[in-house]
Amino acid sequence: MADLENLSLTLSLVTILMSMILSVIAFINQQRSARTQSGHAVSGPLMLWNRAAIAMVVATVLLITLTIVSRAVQTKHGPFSNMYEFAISFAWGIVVAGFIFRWRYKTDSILNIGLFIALLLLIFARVKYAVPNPLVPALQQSTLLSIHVASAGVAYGTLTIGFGSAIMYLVQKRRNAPWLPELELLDNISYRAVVIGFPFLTLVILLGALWADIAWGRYWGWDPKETASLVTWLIYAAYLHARVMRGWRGIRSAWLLIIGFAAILLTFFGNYIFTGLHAY
Amino acid sequence: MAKSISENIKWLWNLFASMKLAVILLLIITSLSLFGTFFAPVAFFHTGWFLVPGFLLMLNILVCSFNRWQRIKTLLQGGKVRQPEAFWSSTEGNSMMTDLPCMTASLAAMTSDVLKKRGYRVRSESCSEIVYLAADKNRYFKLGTYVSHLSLVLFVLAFLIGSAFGFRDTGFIVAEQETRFVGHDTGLSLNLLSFTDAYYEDQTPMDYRSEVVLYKNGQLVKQAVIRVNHPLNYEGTRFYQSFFGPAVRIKFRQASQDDLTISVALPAVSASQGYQRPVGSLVLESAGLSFRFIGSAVNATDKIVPKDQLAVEIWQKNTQTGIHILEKGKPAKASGIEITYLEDIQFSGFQVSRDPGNTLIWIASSLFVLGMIAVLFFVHLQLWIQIKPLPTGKSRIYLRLAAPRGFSQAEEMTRTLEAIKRTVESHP
Ligand code: HEM
Repeated sequence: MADLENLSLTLSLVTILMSMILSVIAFINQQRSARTQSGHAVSGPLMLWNRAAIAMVVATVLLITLTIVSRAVQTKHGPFSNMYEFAISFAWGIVVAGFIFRWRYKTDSILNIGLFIALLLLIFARVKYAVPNPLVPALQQSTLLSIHVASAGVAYGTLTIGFGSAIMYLVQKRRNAPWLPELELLDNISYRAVVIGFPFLTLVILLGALWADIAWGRYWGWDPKETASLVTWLIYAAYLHARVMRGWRGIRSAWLLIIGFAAILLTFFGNYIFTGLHAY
Repeated sequence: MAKSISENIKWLWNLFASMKLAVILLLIITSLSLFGTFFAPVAFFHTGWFLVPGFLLMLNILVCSFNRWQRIKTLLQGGKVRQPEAFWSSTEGNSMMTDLPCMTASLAAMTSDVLKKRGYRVRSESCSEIVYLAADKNRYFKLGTYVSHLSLVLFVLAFLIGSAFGFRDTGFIVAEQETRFVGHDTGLSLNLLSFTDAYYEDQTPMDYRSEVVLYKNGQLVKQAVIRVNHPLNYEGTRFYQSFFGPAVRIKFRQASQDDLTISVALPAVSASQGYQRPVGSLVLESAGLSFRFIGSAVNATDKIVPKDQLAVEIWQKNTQTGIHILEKGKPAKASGIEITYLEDIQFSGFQVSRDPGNTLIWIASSLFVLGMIAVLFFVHLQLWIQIKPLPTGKSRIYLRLAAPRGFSQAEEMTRTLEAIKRTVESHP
């Protein structure tokens, strides 16, 4: 099982890289054909590149899933006991969310930013590989913590897509580039990402608080990782309100999403920055 | 003067009803939380610097909720069905128009059927051959905003209830075979039968467990095992496994009295001359003495209090009357009393708490999630339709949809129109 876990993780690194390269090729071809035969439907070979890129994304999803499953078979619990396991869940969330958003909104640019971040996370995981260790008493709460981390995977994954879309929004606002999706679509994708990500983020915090209540006898203790997750949550709450306000739509909202993503990274890597009860 | 006061009040009210203040307060609290995490002790979160913005946010929520009620009420009842002509000349993306070969009245009936099938509530009015329909969907889910926002106020309420009526004792220490009163008007006392700590092969902790018996006013009410993640809950008072450490069993023999065997926890640490020794104390009322027991050092080989020995200081009132080194199993005389250091045991440290706001916290959490899901996933849609006859014998149908930003309005309207067209085609 450990061999399978290693193999699928390594292969997922390959497929994710391939899908990025293929997307770039598809994109360049699309540019060329757009210039030569403007207005025409996507032609045969172009579709082929795109399809190959998507096939690689699907393969990546399957491989990361396989890594998580084979790991869980060994540890007999969800991926919540260290940064290695959690980085893989985060990457999984991004690729799955990116894939779904790509399918729903028919645009790959956002997925590609996500793929790049997922690639970095998988490399991080590879470097931080940890042999499965038995659980210390506080972590012996498998069901709750598995849902906690799964929710975090979904929340962080979708919010990363929202971040990618916000970046595109800012670029598009400056460049007015025909090869990027329209501003309104980008804004919609960001919003949809938050609509899905925010409830899951809420769930992550509530399940964390429930665990703290059971394990330590307090639902909230201003532990740095707790506070960082609250900060993240507040930023996205601010976004949900800002978006409905005149003057805060568009650029400012997009910046809030970028700050929100920075807060996610702070929460995620927080244990390297501050000391607290969370060792992961 | 009077006017300026009422104007000021109005200004304040509007300020607290505004979403702008909400966003600003959220960002201020975010910044303060970051500051608190990096540069301040945890106590910062209990100071005015943090609590005042939090309080203002709650006020903001309350005023804002109150202020919105009129609009929400209108929305629940459903606004005007018939809209003025200018309303229909909109060229925005949220309107559509098409001509269908059908009489106005029957087109209106079919449209109404289609909308109802699609989950809309439909109201209609007609005026000089023109039919107006107003349709809406998910209107009650709009109340979710109240559920989610007022639940945030409940959080604060729950916290206040907990602080006012609850207690939290983070260092409740009981040695094996000892019984201690919990206090805080609970009438409870906890007896520790045994404490066990277990480790994996690589010495990482595997399990900490305390076997306990709980008494209320002297009556046995519960026997349980308390472990990390498995607290004991009795009538709202909860015991959590928290820490542990060394303890000793001591036997006292006094003239003309029964022998007394007592467990003494050594939870404190005394550091002197590079030794760190566990320390615990005991008051023996019957002898008018108090004792301070000092164990062998845990960080180095102790030359003064060797292993399997125990130092004891004896105090009468505030004066020390002697210091002795006890050897395990050997009785020693001191200050007219015989003391025997029987054996090493352990103590278990619990956190004991009662938080009457706890249930409310989880109710508020559930309400927040439910309210948020109601609003975010059951989007409120409002559709206005105008159907009027054309000279050609056909009818012209206009659609106008109001939905939150981010909702694919064109898609909803196209689907609705397609469904209407199909119905018209299937009726000759
Ligand atoms: C910690 C503070 C807050 C949080 C976590 C929060 C959360 C949310 C969430 C999750 C939504 C979207 C779904 C829903 O309506 O339930 C929302 C919407 C809304 N919030 Fe808040 N909120 C907060 C404070 C406030 C305040 C102070 C106001 C008053 C100005 C406010 C006014 C609104 C309004 C009017 C909407 C509906 C927006 C729309 O029409 O799309 N919120 N809030």
